[in-house]
Amino acid sequence: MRSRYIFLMIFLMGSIQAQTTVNPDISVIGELGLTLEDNTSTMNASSVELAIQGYVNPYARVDVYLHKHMDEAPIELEEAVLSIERGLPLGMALRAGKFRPDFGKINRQHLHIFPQIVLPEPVAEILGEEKWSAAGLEAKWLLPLPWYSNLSLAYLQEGISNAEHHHDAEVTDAEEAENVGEAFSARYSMFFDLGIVSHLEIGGSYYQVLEETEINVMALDLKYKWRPDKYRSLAWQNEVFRRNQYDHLDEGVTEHHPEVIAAYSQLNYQFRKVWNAGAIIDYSSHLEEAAYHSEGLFVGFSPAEETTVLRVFLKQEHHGDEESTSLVQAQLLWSLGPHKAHQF
Amino acid sequence: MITRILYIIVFAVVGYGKINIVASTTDLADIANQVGGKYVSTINIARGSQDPHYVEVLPSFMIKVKRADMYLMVGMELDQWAEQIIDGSRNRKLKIVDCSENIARLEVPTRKVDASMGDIHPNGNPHYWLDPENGKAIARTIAQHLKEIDPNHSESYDLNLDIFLKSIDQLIEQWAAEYDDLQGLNIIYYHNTWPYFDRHFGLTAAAFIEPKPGIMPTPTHLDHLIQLIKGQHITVLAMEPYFSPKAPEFIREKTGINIVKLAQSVDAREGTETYQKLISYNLETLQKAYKP
Repeated sequence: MRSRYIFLMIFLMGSIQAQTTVNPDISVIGELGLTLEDNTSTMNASSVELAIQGYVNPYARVDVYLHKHMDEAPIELEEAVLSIERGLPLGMALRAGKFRPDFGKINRQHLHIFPQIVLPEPVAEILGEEKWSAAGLEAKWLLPLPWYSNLSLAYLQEGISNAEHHHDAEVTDAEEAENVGEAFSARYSMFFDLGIVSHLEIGGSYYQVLEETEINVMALDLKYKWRPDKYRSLAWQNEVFRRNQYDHLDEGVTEHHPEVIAAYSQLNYQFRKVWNAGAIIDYSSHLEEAAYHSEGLFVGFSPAEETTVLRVFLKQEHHGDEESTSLVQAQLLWSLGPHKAHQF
Repeated sequence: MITRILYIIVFAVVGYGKINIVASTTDLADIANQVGGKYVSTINIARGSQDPHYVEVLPSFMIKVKRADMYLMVGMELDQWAEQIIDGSRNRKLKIVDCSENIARLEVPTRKVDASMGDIHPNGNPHYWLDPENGKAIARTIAQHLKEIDPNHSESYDLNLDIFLKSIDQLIEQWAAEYDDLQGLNIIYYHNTWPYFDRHFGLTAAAFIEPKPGIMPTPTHLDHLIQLIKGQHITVLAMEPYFSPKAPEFIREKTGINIVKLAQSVDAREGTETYQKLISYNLETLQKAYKP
């Protein structure tokens, strides 16, 4: 599977070379992480993301994201996607290749924009530690309404995997992961201007695995942002997931796994050009067979327009009957080269 | 919501039959409005008071562009965010016009550009609209493209263009006479927004608050500026309204320099509702600061 992705990437790169006279945008985002837990500090989570982006013709663009952890694990292909965004009828756009489907809000956001450094645990339990990225096809329609209203439908070769990142080159995600087959996902989202500087986005998503083990996930997301000027903004992002799994056994017997409800709410306030701070709470009704919730505070410092960022995240976790644990994480993030602006 | 829908319906009826233009900035929108006259309807993406380098890509912008016939870009990599808005609009009939296409560019790097030089634009300084001669070039570009998509009203566009060009030519003469005393004025700017404006009106950028474009000032750099202001007797510090006044205020405390807020775009300040008023406002503001 991995070799197919690498081949696809080389093919797409070849297309870029052949069809354009200018280079695509190439950027690298690097990360160095430090975790302090139970009075032990570890330098960890260090990785780099390479992004190659550009138009291949007047109608389509290609975005390739490669991720390499600073360990023995091989390079991971996060995305290699051809997007046709101009020229299709009925307000339609298409994406084909390996990509993060339009499912929920957080799934399409890259890790380096998270002010709290890491994916909330309950979300990682639903979407996988590396979130959901798979090969397939996605169609999007901008519906003919006075406000922004988008419907996305996607068919993917692989559903959400529970694979974790392995630091050993010999173990692959595919070997360890629960095998999840073809999947379908849909998202409907709307966006409203609540004034000149206030905006609201709401979305509803559905995910279904198309095989014997029936897994479905429903998600609702809401994001509000207030940005009165260049130096101040307040963003409030919320998401709730409901996951059900049914194993259809022999002789018509169906085993229903416990329903999982997972959610997070994140508030991020940029109070100066270079400073932001905020809080996050998250919850899972059933994370590794017990209820879980955590509260966290974070602060970020960006001295040069997000090309260098220092973040600190303090978190307290409560898992079932276990004693609460505290965690401090720090992250130094740097970015080299032009990187496509992140959408709302 | 009902009010919103009614507003959109009324807007659609009133705007029916007109060429719908979306412009990245208020400057381009105003010039397009003057050239297009009654046959166009224009809206802008970045507000006049907003830093045009950093505009968040909002889905509501995509809806505006979805209904448009023409999109006016500043170009020269200033409004790179416009590409995502245009892509997201999925508008098949949209004509994209790069208004920098007939501009003689300043400060085009002659060596490899990298981030050690700050937020530098590899195709040259993109704040070209602040030279009134370039305002005329923008108007010609817009008129040419309007005539291509709406040939039935070519005469009207030509007439409006002529009126616009004459108004700028008259003002250029008037500005030269009224603000002659500004020639050679040394100014500390916050950001390198003004080379085209300076070239036309004979002003000089002595230094910038930003040590490099987009980079916040360090104490050492501020100290260097203070020494420069004292040594060269510089009397005016000009900044765009969206920058923090903290560093300029610190310099004023140490040197007594006059701080003025210039308008980098139409509608950035009160009294800058048109392109012509924008240039007049900036000259008048500098003159007042120079001769308080």
